[in-house]
Amino acid sequence: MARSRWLPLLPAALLLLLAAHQGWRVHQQGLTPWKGGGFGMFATSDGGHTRRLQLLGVDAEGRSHALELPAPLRGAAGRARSLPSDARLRQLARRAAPLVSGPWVALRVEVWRTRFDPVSLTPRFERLRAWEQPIGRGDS
Amino acid sequence: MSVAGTGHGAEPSLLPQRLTLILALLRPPGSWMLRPAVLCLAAVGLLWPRAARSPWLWAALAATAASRLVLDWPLADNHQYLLALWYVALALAASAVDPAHSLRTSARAMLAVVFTLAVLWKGVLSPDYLDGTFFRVALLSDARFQDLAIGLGGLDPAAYDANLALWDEAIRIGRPWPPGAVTETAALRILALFLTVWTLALEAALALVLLWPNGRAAARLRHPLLLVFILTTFSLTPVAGFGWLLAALGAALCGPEERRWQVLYAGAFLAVAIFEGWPWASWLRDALG
Repeated sequence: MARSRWLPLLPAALLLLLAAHQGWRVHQQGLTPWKGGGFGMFATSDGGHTRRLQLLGVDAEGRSHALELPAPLRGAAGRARSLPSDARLRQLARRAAPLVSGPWVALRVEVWRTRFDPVSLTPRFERLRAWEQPIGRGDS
Repeated sequence: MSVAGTGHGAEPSLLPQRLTLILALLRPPGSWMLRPAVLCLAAVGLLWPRAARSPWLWAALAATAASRLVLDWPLADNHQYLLALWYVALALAASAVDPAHSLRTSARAMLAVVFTLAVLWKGVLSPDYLDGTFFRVALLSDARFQDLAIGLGGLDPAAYDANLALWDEAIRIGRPWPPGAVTETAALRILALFLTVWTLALEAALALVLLWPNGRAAARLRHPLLLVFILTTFSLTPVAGFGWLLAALGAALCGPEERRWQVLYAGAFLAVAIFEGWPWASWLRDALG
């Protein structure tokens, strides 16, 4: 009897658990509030569409140079913009290594989000997450 | 069998199940692995009422929805999570002693969680909602709001396109535009403020009446508020899948004495489908332009 009373609440309890997980991902890994099952859509301008993913080549002197994102990685980049976890950025840098040419000792992947001034709406760009992946001889 | 049932003593209405199955047919997953399975399951459920009462059908649909979430991670829309858990609720209800009561309990609790989370994000956690920035940005840069920005916001179409180009370039190369470069009208700011207040107020009211104990006066506002939310929100935002799902949950929320509300939810389901294919905001834009 008690089981039948509480069982219908299980889906809502799972929804709450999902929301807690989404909140943790937003806080810890930069997940956009629009995604992840926490119902933060239409609440903030910080969505995947206002984020920018930048691939950079780092030379032996430590200078970084903006690189064109290889076309086969665009899908993965879209996911990384929404959830720029270390694992996702690392994987993207590793996959990019054999696809870019240049005197790079490392590749850096950065994800930037946009904040808008509440009066003038002028955008301000904040680096949300970054990952630098050294390139070994076997990588490029 | 009638769509909405015949009242007290009648077999429990299958309307929530049917609306959910129609939604599954209208919005199957894109993945070739899941699409045929979902379409077949939905068709079977719609054609054979016995199948729609089987927990196995809903468990299978829940498994496909969960697989879709895994395949699309992290890009799935929020209502896909709700749909997956709604299938779980339907499976649990189908194996319950009183399926309609079980489904009603699940629907109410799930809707309460959804609207409470939406209010939490808009009212507390988001840094740019309450000051109106979000809707100003959305009206100026989100193509889904373009007709609204031009029709009701009074923005010249050429100015809208110029804004959009400025916006795309700024995000793409990470360089802000000079102050004053974006064209914004007074009407658009008022519209953004109205949308900000209206959306939050409606969602907060819904969260409150869904959490309120049954039998109180506030609880009687559940259906009117949910229907207003569905009809207003999904006439503006093209997320029909979410609108249909809310209509199905609303139909499940109805008690045996509330069959007329079920008919209205079926109407809301239809209205969302009409809104999706009917460019009313574009017509408004042309009429006012």
